[in-house]
Amino acid sequence: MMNSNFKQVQEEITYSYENTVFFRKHMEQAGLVPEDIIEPNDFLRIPPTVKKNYRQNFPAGVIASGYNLKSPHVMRFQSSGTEGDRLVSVVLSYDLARRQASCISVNPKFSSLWKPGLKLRTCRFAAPNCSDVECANPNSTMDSRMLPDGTLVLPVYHDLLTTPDRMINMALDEIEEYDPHLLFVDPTHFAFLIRAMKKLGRVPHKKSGFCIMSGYTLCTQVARRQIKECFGEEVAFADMLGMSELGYLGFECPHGKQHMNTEDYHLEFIHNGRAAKPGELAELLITTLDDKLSPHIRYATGDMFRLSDEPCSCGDPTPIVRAEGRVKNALWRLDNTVVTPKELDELIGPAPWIDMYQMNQTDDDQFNFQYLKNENWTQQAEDDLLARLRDTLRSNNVSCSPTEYFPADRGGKFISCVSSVAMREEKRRLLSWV
Amino acid sequence: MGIENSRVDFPVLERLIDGQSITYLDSAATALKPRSVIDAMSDYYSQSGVNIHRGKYYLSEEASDAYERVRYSIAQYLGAYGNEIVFTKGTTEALNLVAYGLDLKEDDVVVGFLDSHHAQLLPWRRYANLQLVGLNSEGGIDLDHYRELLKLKPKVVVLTHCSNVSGTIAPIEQMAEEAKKACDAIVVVDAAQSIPHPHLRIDVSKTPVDFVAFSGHKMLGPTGVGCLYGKSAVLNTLRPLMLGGGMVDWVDADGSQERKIPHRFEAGTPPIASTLGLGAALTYLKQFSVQESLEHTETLTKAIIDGALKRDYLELLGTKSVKNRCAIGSLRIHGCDDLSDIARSLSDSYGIMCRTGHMCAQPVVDDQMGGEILRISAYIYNTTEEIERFYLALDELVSFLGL
Repeated sequence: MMNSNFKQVQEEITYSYENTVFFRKHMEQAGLVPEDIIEPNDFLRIPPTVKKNYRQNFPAGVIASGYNLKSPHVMRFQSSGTEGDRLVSVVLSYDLARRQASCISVNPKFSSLWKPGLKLRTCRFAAPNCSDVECANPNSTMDSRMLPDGTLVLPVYHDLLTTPDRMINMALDEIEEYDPHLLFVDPTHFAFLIRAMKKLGRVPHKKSGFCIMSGYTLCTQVARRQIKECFGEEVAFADMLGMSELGYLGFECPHGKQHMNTEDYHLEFIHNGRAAKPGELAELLITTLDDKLSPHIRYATGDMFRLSDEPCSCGDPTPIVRAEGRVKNALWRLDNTVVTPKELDELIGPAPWIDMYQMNQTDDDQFNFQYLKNENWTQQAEDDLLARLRDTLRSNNVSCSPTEYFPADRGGKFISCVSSVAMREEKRRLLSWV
Repeated sequence: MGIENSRVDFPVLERLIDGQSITYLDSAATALKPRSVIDAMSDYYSQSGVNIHRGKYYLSEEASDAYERVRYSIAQYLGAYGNEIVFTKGTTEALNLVAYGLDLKEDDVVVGFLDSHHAQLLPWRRYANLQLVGLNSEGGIDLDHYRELLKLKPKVVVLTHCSNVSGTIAPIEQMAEEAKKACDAIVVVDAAQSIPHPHLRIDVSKTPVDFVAFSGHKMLGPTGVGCLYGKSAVLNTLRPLMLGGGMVDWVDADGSQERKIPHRFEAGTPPIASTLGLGAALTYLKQFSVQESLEHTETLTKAIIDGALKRDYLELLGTKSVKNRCAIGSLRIHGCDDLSDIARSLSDSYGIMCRTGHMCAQPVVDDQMGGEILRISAYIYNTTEEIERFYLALDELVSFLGL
């Protein structure tokens, strides 16, 4: 358990039980009442909650009594999910801000975003379904894409690689005009924008005085390389961990490690139904702390992590993890072991000859790796990677070929590692409650 | 599983008619459907059946996702981008859409080919000045004549990748390059007969074609759905053929704003189940390698050519080489002007399903054969034994019909 203040957890359970219809029923079905949760081990008796519970019970069952969608400070978020796993959720704006601040505090390079009196200007470049504005409509205007918190959602097509030059120019023009303090981007999307910018003979609007934060999908080293190459060391860049239902969960420190927020959440890393040992592949379960609007108890995320017991060299005491990717994106070897999206990405590395990639496990022991190549490509580099992939996946049925096009999923996200085997119920159950 | 074992995937081939099994030799008209295609369509109707796009409810989003995934998989198969794939009713609608949408003038020259299907002839004749390339003495495409006609600086060149009567495969890459070099003509390819074969896949990222049209039903998919690939720069200039719901972003009392490509060409509710079936068909086809597709086609083609050449009462349309040819045999039976009795007897007495007529390519059929033909066309589920059986049945019938 990643939070020592068990009393806060007990209070959250009691509040949730007394104020949300769903959680009361959930406890009743398990034959529990809050008074049964006396010590940390009791907590494990509560069955995990999952996204489906929140989808089915939104809004009446999961919004606490006394609140509604029009209550002050209520922010509504919509996640398209993939494979129909969509969700609408709500967060209080000040909870969101507090979680954000707790997370970002691990990286002093981002302290400029918290200057007193600063009216933060943010530009967002991500999949269209990551916002509720019509950013995929080529006729939309800056005004129509401005969110109440001062975030400008930049225009982008659903099918990223088909975004026409006109919309790329619009996005680049709007970054220049709005001059954001923070660019909050999907790394694959932003790497695409950078390539398109270069192709159009344009240059970055500036190379210092603002920050770039990546989120939404796994930040591949290939995307990171392109962003860093383009903007240089003067622009702070870090990857955040987050969920549309809760906001910020963790943030990358200057030493490149992911720190988790244990101020606002009680975190569990579960392996085979028990607390994971350091380094073990585990699913993250989250319990919110002091969330008066829509508390989550033992919320199984479907995300895999490896927890480290080493202190971080940056000096920040919060726990560090390695985010391994989604359970449903894991690659399954024939011997029933997995290669996570993060492990795959480590294998590929920054690969200066690749602009974008996707591994697709189409069936048992069938792997198809495709990539967009650039001028640094060599046959040797491809052959070496293919050998590494075959070695790691313990399979000869791995193909590796260049392509000129990758479709995004319908929500607009692009997932660098997908697996139809991992979508099977019997495989998912081995790794997750979801 | 290889092509040679694919027969078991086609439920219709288990059927007996009057106690007789089926020998299906009409795949150039439409291919049989594997179980996975039937299941994809059936699943849609039994598990969903709802409309796609714009619906916010779960079933609609699920169906929309599945529908759009088919578009993406076709794009990837062709080396195209997702927004370059327009769903149509089939090849005919796709070609009509291009012929109509290019805003051709009556005196604009369009170069076409004598052995093309009516769908690749009539729309062009309606909107422009269509000039046809003839066949050479071997029954193949007369490339010298083609080059002569390119001197007319045609605005459009309309190619047929594989003839539905002769089975001849045109060297479209070379022809498209010549068209671009001669006059930067817009190149439109009818790929209805070639797309079913993995070894004839057109990679549009490497071939200078602007449009490619094909049907789902000839590539193991259902009827009612086909595709038009259009290079985005050219597709963006095309005028939509159909107007209505789903193809506009905005409509008010005075006007409307069309959606981006490809949606502006897809007015109305599409054949959703058929499109999902097409996706399953593509998945099924992709399991066969280029090499096995080529080898199987050449084996069947050889059986068709050899069988025809062995019989002096038969004349085979087109080239007599197994190279650059699909397993299609269009036959004339000397002394027989009405082939309908032959086709009926092949079906009822032998269980052999094949086709007679002009095959929607009357100019070349009349030019080369002087009238109707009997056509056999074989595909992945056929064997050389079936073709030999066809010829033996024909021998028997010809003899008994007193021809």
